[in-house]
Amino acid sequence: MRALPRTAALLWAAAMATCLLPACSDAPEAKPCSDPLGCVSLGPGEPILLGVIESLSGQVAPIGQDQVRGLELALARRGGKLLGREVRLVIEDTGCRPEGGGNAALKLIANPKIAALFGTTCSGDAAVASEVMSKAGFAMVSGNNSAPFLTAIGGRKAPKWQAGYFRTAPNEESSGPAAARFAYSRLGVRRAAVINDGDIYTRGLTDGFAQAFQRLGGKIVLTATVNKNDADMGPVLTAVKNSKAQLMFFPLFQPEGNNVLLQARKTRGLERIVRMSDGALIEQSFIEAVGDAAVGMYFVGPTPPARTPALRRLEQEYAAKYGASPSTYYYVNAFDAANILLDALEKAATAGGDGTLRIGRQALRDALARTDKPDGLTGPLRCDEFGDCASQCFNILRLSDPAAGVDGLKKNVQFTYRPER
Amino acid sequence: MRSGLLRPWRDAGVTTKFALAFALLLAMVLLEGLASLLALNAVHKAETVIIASTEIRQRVFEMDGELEKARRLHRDFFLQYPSIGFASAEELYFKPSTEVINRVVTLSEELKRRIESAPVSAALRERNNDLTLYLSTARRFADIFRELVAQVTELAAPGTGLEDQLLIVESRLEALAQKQTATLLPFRKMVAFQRSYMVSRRRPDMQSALNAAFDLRAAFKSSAGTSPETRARAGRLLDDYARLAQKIPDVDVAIRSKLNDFTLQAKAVDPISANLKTLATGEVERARARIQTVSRLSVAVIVVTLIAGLAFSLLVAAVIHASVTRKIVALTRWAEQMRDGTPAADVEPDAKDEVGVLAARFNDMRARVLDLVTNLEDKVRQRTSELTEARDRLETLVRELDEKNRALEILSVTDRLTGLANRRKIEEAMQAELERARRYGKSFSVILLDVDRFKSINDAYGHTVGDAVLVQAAELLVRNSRRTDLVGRWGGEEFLIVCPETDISVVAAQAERHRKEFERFAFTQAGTVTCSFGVTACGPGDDAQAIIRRADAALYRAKDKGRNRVESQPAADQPPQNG
Repeated sequence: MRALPRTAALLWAAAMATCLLPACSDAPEAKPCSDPLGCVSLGPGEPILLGVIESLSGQVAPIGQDQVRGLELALARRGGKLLGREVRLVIEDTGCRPEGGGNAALKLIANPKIAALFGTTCSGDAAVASEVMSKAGFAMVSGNNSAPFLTAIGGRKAPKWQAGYFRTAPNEESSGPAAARFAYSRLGVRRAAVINDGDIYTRGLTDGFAQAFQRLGGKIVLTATVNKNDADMGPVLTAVKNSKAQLMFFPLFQPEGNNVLLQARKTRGLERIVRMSDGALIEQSFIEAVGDAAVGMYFVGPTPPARTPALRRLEQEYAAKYGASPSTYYYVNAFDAANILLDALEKAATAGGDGTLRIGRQALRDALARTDKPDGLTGPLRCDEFGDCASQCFNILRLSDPAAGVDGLKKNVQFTYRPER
Repeated sequence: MRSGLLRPWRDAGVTTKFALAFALLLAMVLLEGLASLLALNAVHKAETVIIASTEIRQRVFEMDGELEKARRLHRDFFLQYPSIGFASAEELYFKPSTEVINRVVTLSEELKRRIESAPVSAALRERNNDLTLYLSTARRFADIFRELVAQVTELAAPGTGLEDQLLIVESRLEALAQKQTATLLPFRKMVAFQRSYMVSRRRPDMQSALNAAFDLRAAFKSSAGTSPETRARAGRLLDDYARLAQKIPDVDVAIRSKLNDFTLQAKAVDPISANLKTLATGEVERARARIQTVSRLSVAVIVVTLIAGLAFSLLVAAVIHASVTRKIVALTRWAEQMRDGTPAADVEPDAKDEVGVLAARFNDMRARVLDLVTNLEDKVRQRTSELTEARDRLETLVRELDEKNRALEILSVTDRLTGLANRRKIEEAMQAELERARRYGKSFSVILLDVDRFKSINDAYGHTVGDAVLVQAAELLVRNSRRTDLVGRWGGEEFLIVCPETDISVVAAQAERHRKEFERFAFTQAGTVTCSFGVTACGPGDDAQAIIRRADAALYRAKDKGRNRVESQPAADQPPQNG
């Protein structure tokens, strides 16, 4: 007789448990992802995946590699972890080609566990990659893209602007104008030839230069294009010579930039022409490759970050981690880009009760857009509605002594241009 | 521990033992059934995986085939449009390729769903990301193809394409340039570079053409024989030329970029389908291997349980035998022994089960029977000994009786005092001699004697001495008689001697010897005792009485004649004899 009430109690408890269990286990599920773009859901212990799209092959590889290193340094500062989880990088090479960027982005966005993208190196890649990732609801931050097409031109949305794209490299919208202003005002140049490689980055620069130069009263006597990997620059240099340009603005990458310079030095009639390029050639490898041929050549490039103790510390970390000094300071932009991305991920993430982590994709974009980081190593970082987070400031450098290398070049500042934002 | 288990087992009833044994056997059967069921389930699961994986692989093949078809159409488009014309190429290759790509997209979406829901491995399911890439790449393929076609159209569409436009400008310029050598030379140079570009697609060639165009413009300007209208027209044409010649390499670069895009797409997508096929194949193989393993395992389990079941059955049989049958057999044997005799010992009860109880009852029974048997023997032995005793006693009695009878018999013909033949015996002997004499003619004689003055001996010495005299007299008579003679006591102190085959004279002589022996013999106490003798012989027609009478008569005469003498009395036909 005693056993009966006990059995009944047990049955009752079991029934209650059965009723309660789904309620309990469903509790975290009761709040489905409300983010309009969806969520990245990570189970307990699952690492946070970041897709990395950089140019890791070809001449641009060192710059791409520094981008990855900037990200790695930022992660190392956080012990390789974010929100208590390991951060794992999924790295894809674009080969500094738009189609490479597009396909790399496709590959990465196929994985729904990837929280965000970091990249790219080349703006041309970014234009395609950012379109692909934006459609998929991702966010992407670059520490190197500077083509104005990607964000804004003249305070208006640029043609290749995509929602979710942010960068800590300065919009080089003002790079061309800075060079044009210097050429026109300081050097007294009135006739200029511009050579791009058809890529939106170089084209953006030559366009910016041309517009500003013409606005100042100068004349663009030649707009020429060379193809990537073109070796024979004779014809285009003939065109330059024919154009009677006083200045040749060729914001090209290696090796096209090298070829143009070296062959120009050998072209009769171009002995006195002013040679001006941009940040892509502010490289030790370029100086070493061309040597004395570059003496007297001008470069327009973003003003390097101030050598604060914080930057020196990062430099030391770089040297300690990779056993070499950084060849450019673009890794600092990458470091800043990584930090704003990691900060935004922290802000956008919400923890589920069952150890899951959820990152809303729109929430991440919003968090990135709200970035206001006065202590960025490249300067204060505040993202505007177009995704530009760095302030613009450009230096005109002159290579006087190839032996002094890229450091000597960087120090030889001729002109600084800081447009109003 | 062992005894801890054995005790309850021993004490359990036979029914319980059988129930336990059969329950365990049933458990073995159930175990086997369970193993088979599990194996079946595993095989079923693996089959589902095989089916799902095969389907997935099939879809991947289809999807891949479709994409390949799209690529073929794309390739054919570029191969064919120069010969069949743009519109036909678009109709024949571009539009179908769009449809094919749509199918690829549908297939890959379906495949994605299938993989998500299929019971396949995590590795294969994780490939869904790849499928997403496959899907987006397929879409991108379509987009890029469309863009490419647009760019190719822009470049090469007959009549309207940039290349044709350039040719038109070129031919118009030719018309102007060929009028003068100064203009014709740079024109030809320009065209040569332009042709060179069309073959090599190297931008410097086009740049050289542009440079030549620059020279041509200068030639037109400097040429004296050129009208201002011609100069203006040539300038406009050269502007167009420059615009087109700059645009064409741009479009070419864009086209090359698109083609490179396809290469990258293929690079991204081809391993996916290959990987999916490999994974699905691997899945099928794994499932097959699983089936094989499971089958092997289940066979092993079944065989093991079978063997174990067999062993267990044997064990159960052994246990049942040990705890039931053996005991029953022992009991049966014991009962046989019981039937044949008495068993040596008790049956071991060994357990408290039914057999144990039966054994205990058997033991009671044995005790009882043993008791009965033991008593019976004792009684038989007792009776036997009693009978033996009675028989012995009887035998003794019989023997005694025989002896007594014999003694009696002897007593009936013997004189008690002297041990000589008594009167009856003498009469019988005389009768027998008479018979013999009558039959064979043999004669016999008798001697009758009487102790002289016996009365005076009795009187003088008493009866005891008298008897002793009689006894000694008898001994003397027997000692001195012939062996064939019968000596008997005739009564009182008279003795009769029957002497067969003798005549009277022999007998008289014999009587004389006896008389003399008496005379010589000294009797105890009595001293010398004499006897008187009367002898006679049997005559013809004699009977016993007659003979005795004659002997008696002779004796009487001896007495008369003074005693201690022998007198004969022959038969009537015989002369009397004196001794």
